[in-house]
Amino acid sequence: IGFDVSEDLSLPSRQQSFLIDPAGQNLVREFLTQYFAIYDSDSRQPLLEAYHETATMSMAAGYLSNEGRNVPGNKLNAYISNSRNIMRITDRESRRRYLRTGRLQVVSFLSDLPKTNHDLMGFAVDLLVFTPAMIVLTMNGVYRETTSYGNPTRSFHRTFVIIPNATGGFSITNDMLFVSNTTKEQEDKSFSGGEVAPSSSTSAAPVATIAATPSYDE
Amino acid sequence: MASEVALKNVDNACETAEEFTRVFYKQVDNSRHLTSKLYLDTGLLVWNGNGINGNDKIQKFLMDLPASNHVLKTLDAQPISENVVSNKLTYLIQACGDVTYQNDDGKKPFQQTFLIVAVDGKWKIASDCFRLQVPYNQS
Repeated sequence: IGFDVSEDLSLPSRQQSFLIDPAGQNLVREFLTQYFAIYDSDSRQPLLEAYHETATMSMAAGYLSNEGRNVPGNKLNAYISNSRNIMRITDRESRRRYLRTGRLQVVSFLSDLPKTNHDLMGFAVDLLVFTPAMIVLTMNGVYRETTSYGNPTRSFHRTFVIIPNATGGFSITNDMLFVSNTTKEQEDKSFSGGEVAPSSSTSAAPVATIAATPSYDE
Repeated sequence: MASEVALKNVDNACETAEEFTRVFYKQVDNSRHLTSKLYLDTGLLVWNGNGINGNDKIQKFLMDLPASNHVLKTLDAQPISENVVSNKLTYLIQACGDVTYQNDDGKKPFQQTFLIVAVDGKWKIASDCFRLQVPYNQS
């Protein structure tokens, strides 16, 4: 007599995007297109406009595995020294300090991170909250470091909390970023939707078409 | 510049994130039949782009996933301004690490973002976004 355990379970197939509300599609696409056009340009200073006055931002970085940690292109030194991984940063004082607070501090911090070119077409975007008061979205994807030796690709996961502002636009109140190495599979598929030259103008690259309908579990 | 209350809230967000993830991954890995209790009734799980709304459906979805073992490697947390979330205490938590599934090849890196909210003295997940670190290009 056996046990009634389900042993043939497999992982559900993955979707590139989820939208809690299809009405948010254009806004999210426009917001990300504009944001990353600036983020990937020569100067991230204009991102001051994108953040709320009291915005907070933190970044945590971690190696994919122990293997290859000493390969020069895999080194995450540019991130690790500022990483707010609270499993390692355990005292309250440091945890407070590593949380960048206020738009000036946030953009100054972002400006010091390596220069990038994001694979916008390969983004996975999840719109988790879309109400008149608040928008929460996450992104998963890869970018290339454009001015670092060997132009390594990095994997990232990022969350924005966004609120409407007084001028009819939107402001980021929370920004949380995770940076790691890319897997071999990510590396092979990166920028397969075409390379978009980093631009300093606003003629930005399109973010991958975000699924028009929310995909709910049946 | 930030007020002492705001700074205390930063400490609390971090300490809550540590406790929350300890409970969450223990439940998902060892007592998954209880996991949906951690979500709001109207909670949202987005699992690799598949959206599941409401904790009954979340429970069913989770039960259909293979047995898992999560190892956390990085954790981060921020408070969300109470002006934004109508005075409810709300934290944003980002947990990253490796997950191994039963009958599957090796460990996979994952990233997970939670929005948790305090309701009647309990922390509940308002939304949970899970992503395996794989390519998502449609090609």
